[in-house]
Amino acid sequence: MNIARTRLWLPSALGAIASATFVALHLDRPWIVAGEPTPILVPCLVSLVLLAACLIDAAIMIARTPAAVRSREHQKFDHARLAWYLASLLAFAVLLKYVGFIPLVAIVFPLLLVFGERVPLHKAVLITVVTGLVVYLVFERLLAVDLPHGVLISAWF
Amino acid sequence: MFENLILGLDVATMPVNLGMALIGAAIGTAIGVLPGLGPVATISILMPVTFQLAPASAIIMLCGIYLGAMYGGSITSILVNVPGESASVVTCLDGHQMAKNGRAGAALGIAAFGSFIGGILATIGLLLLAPAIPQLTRGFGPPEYAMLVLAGLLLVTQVGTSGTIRSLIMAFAGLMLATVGTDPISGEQRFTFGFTFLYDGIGIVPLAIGLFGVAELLSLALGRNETQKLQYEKLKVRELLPSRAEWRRSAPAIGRGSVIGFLLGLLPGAGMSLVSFVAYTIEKALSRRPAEFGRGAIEGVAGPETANNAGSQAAFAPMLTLGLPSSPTMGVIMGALMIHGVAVGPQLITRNPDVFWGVIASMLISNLILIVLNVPLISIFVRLLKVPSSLLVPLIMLFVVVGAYTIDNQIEDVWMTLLFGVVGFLLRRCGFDPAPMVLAYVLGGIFERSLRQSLILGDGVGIFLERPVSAVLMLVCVAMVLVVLVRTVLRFRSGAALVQEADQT
Amino acid sequence: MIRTGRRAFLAGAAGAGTTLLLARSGWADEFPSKALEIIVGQPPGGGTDTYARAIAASLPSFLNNQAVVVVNRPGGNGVLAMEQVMASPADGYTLSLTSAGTAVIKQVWDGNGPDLAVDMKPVATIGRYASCIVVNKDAPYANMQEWMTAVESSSKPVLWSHTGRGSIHHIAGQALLTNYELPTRDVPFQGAPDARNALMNGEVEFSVFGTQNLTGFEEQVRSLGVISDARDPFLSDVPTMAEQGLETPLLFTPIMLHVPKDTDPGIVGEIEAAVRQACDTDVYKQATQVAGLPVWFQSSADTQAWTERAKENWTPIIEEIKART
Repeated sequence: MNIARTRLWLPSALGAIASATFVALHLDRPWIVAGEPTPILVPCLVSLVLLAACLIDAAIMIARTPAAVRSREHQKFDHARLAWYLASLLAFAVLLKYVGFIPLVAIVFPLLLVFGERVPLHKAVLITVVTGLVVYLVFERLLAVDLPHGVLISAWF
Repeated sequence: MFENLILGLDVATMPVNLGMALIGAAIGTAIGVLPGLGPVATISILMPVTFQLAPASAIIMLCGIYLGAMYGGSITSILVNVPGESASVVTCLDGHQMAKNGRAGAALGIAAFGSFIGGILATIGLLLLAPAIPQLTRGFGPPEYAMLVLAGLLLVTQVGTSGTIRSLIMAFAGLMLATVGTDPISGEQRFTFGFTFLYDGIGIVPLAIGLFGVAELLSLALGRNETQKLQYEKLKVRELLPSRAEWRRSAPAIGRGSVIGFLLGLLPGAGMSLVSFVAYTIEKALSRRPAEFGRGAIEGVAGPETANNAGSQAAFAPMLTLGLPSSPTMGVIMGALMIHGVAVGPQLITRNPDVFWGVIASMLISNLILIVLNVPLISIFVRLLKVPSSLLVPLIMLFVVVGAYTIDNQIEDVWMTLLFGVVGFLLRRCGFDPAPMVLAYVLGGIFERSLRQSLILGDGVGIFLERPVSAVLMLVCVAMVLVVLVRTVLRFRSGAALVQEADQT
Repeated sequence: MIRTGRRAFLAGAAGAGTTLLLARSGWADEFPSKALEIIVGQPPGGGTDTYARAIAASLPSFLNNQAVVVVNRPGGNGVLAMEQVMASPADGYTLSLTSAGTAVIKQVWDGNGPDLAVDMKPVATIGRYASCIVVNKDAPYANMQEWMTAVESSSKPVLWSHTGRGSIHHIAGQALLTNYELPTRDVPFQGAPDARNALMNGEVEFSVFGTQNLTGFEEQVRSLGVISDARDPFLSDVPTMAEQGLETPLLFTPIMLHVPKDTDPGIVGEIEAAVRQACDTDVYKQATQVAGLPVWFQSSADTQAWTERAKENWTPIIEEIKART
């Protein structure tokens, strides 16, 4: 299968966003009113060029022969590890406000290290404790940054 | 000029001021290393401390912070692909690749020496030209900035390792992102969808940390070549500094970087990111090995690092003599001067010569301090990379999340960072290098504002041709487009344009 | 070397650090028993920030010697800072410092943001900004009348720069120009430095920005008239619009301190009394004077009255300007 064609979705998606933006803005108001450019002038021009560039890119991808595609170096992918990282990032994004930074590190970090990176449990715990402590000391105490404390810890104070 | 230099050095070498420069440089480097927490936040915390100091001492300390942060920002760019602020985005492109090739020490070294040389040359330039600077920048209004930034945007398409068309796509996607937030002219909200945190636009730091730092760590999570070990582990101390061959390649880049940085730094509306990547693209264009750019070319670190340091020092001239700050940090330093009762303006040089020349001379000293501080630190920083990647990668993740949060103590910044991280990762998987997006994003705001101001001022596009400087810049832009077009057509004929980079991991 | 930096940092952050620590453990028997915070919606260095730092430096002696810390929370045109104060405990330890006129304008211009008159409780007014009409030093006009005659007779719209659409200086300037139907065209810049520079470069004919931004540029530009009800103490030779026989619907913007709306009136009264005394100190007067910012104390009740009046009187003017641009 041609690797390049499976990657057509990206320029297509960008092109679709560009055209949708253009149409929505263009129908909304004129580009120039009384000699003064309106806020939509630049976004409209930008989306037009973006659309054109996406079309050219897609055309090149369709046109080029499979032989012209430089095959990727053979590399072993670890999708499980990626999933653990994505899950950790998601946890930080969603739970940071409610759980607080330090507690979240205490929960997420050992999981990520043990299951994602396959670090032995005792090492993972040690690293978590040290990291949590360093972050707390440097940011909370030294730099007086108010890291999110979360619902639980805020309630104690 | 020599009596000015002597007056300046008299002020700058007073023990108090030397101490302030040292403290400032050290704090600056430290906060530069932390992503997020930037010089603006730091200076606002330290402002009450500077109240007790004489104006010159206070400003010398703030300059130290400013210059230190500039250098500190490049350290994380090189080591972990996390740019501390917008000026060090360009350093990520080749600096981090050098680190991957086992040349982190050389990259850090050339950044330090380049900054030092650029700083010294810029200071000399200021000494020679300072009184004439208000006249020099007089011809630069919105039409000139619009054309200058347009030239910059055209150069953006030459950045990146995924071909002109894809760079163009990324650049225009970046321009699109730059339109989010309060409209620079009408003041209305565009694409903010009612979110207050988007009023000021998408922050450059979340965008850059996400697209570079988070995307990098996700790539490392998906597939890192364990046999290659990123070559971090076989570092030897004697490889810590740039080799003679690397010096030979960097020397002209440092020279050009100083000149470009100084000249563009005098234009307050241009901003430091334009400075650094104009230097980068010029190095790439002049290089005999353009294909190495984006894969660890040392000129790609030396040029922009020199230029942004030279530029940030030159930027003091318009700030002090015209009251025009070129960056938020400069704005804060200007405010600090005001609080100390020093009114910036064309009369500053005659009214407060000690402040003006003291600041300029203290930059010489801060540069000296920075290099003495940082060169021994290189070996420590490089040793960080010896941490096995199973620990290093999770630690970078934590570092990025804390960094994103400390920008403004806003959870929304963390969201944006992580969102752009995933976007950057997908882009890279699909063979798109996101670097042009970040650079175009930075320029997009300036471009749109000055373009629309020009159109109002001139009541149409004629204004760009009526004014000599903007007409010349416009010709440069047209020439650049022609060169790219001709080159692309020639490549198409030979069929080479059909070969694009497949994937980057 | 890093250690030196961190130690110095520690010293610098100590103020902020202790505040936060105390903020968590303190218990209010007698107000104030811990440090206060003033949240400012602008980055450090601007006029509003200077007011905040000046009042923060002069307040402690009237508040049991408790420290007053300025916290800059820029973003969302100052809305983020106000929202942060509104969301903090109504115990009088968190204050907001805002330019009230700007807040009133933003609410109409953007259609959102807090309503100062309803969403917060006023403490006092501590200063004000006034806009002024500025021309180049060598411009051939002695006063507003001469200048207006010249503008009126211009064949094409006269270009002028201001600090951004929806800023106080834009609205104040445009309201005056609209009042006399002068043929002008505004070019928005971001902040007074850029607006002033465009004037100095000759890109525009005149400019409207705050009186304090003339400091340091006396040899390049001069003001023809101040849009205010009284002369500016630092520009005593520049007459007001009224003195020159001109009517203008919008005057200055006061700098106000607010607390969350549920704050105990007794506490508000205590802070108000302290602010009244602080505004009279030399520390406060000097700190504002170097930046060219006038001192103007108003009581809590007068502060509230100003906001309500401005909301009522300004809204139609702002809406008209918004509709025209």
